[in-house]
Amino acid sequence: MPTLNLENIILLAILLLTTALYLWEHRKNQKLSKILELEPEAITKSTESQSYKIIHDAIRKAQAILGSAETESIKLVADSRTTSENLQKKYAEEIEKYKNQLQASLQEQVSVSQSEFNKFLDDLKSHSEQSQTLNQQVTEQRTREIFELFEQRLATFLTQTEQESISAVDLEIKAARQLIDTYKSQQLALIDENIIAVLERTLAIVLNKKLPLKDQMDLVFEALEKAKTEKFVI
Amino acid sequence: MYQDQINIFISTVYGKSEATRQLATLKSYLLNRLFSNDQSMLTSLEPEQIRWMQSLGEDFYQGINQTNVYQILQAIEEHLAQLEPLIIYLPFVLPDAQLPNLGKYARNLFGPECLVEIKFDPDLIAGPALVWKGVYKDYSIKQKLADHHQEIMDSLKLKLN
Repeated sequence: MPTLNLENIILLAILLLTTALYLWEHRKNQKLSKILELEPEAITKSTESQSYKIIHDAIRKAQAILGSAETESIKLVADSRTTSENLQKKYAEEIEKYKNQLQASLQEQVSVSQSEFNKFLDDLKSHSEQSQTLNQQVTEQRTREIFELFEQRLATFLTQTEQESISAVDLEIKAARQLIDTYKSQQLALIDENIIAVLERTLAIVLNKKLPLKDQMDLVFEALEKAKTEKFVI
Repeated sequence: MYQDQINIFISTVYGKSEATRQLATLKSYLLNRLFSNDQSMLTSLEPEQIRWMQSLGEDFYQGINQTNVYQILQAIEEHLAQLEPLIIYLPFVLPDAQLPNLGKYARNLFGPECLVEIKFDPDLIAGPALVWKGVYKDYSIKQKLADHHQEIMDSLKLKLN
């Protein structure tokens, strides 16, 4: 595919222009032939001649235009090269200048940033030291509080434990006393139930077998006296 | 009627059972003496029985003959039946020789017609129990222990405490 450079465009323009001129002339001759209705051959020759002349002129003009265009294009190319070189040079200068400015600005910014960073680091260090000191103080304070709380709770716990132990011992003593009382009550109840029987049995064995007849009789007489006194027997 | 014989008879016996037994002996003796005069009957009597019949005295026998002997014996028997005995429970076996002592003592206290009925109760302790007209009363130490039960227990509790 042909490239659309300046020369091709100009040639194309010339060609179009020539074609247009030819068509315009041809149409003009047709109209003229109809009107005059002259002799066809003469007219044809004249027309051909004119046509060739026109074409020739057109070619010449086209060549002139082409030459001029070529010249212009060369000139333009030369100008463009010059301009390009100038521009390149200018751009290089501008770029260099901008580069220098940018470098200077960058260096300045870097310097400022470094300074700020150093300052930030200093602040950070200072803050860190303050935080460390504060943390140490807080830690010491917290540790002291924890120890105090621990001591307080330990004391409370020990007191509570002591009281609970005393209460437990008291309860044990109370339970033991209650047990002893219960045992005593049970023993007394047993004694209560059996002591008289034991006494009776003992006295029956001892007295009924060992008591002399006279004493036995005295007891009977005494009982009769009592029955009389009580008016049991009338 | 025949009160003299009744009184004499009663004065020589102290126990209800003894009185019944002696009355039977007396009846045999009198009937034999008044109606058959069998000497073998006299020889069969115990010396104690003979001594007791002698202790009744001549006054007792003077008024008794074949015509009234049954009435007198019946009168004595009826009189004995009317007498309410004082039952005495004893924790020991009373010797027969001691019965008159006990009977006399009771009669001194409760009247000349008091008859006693002696019974043995080994559960009693050092003292008798009496039954009079169906009412029982314990006069032994057993009852005294029961009467003083609380005092004895209080005393024991004091010792235990």
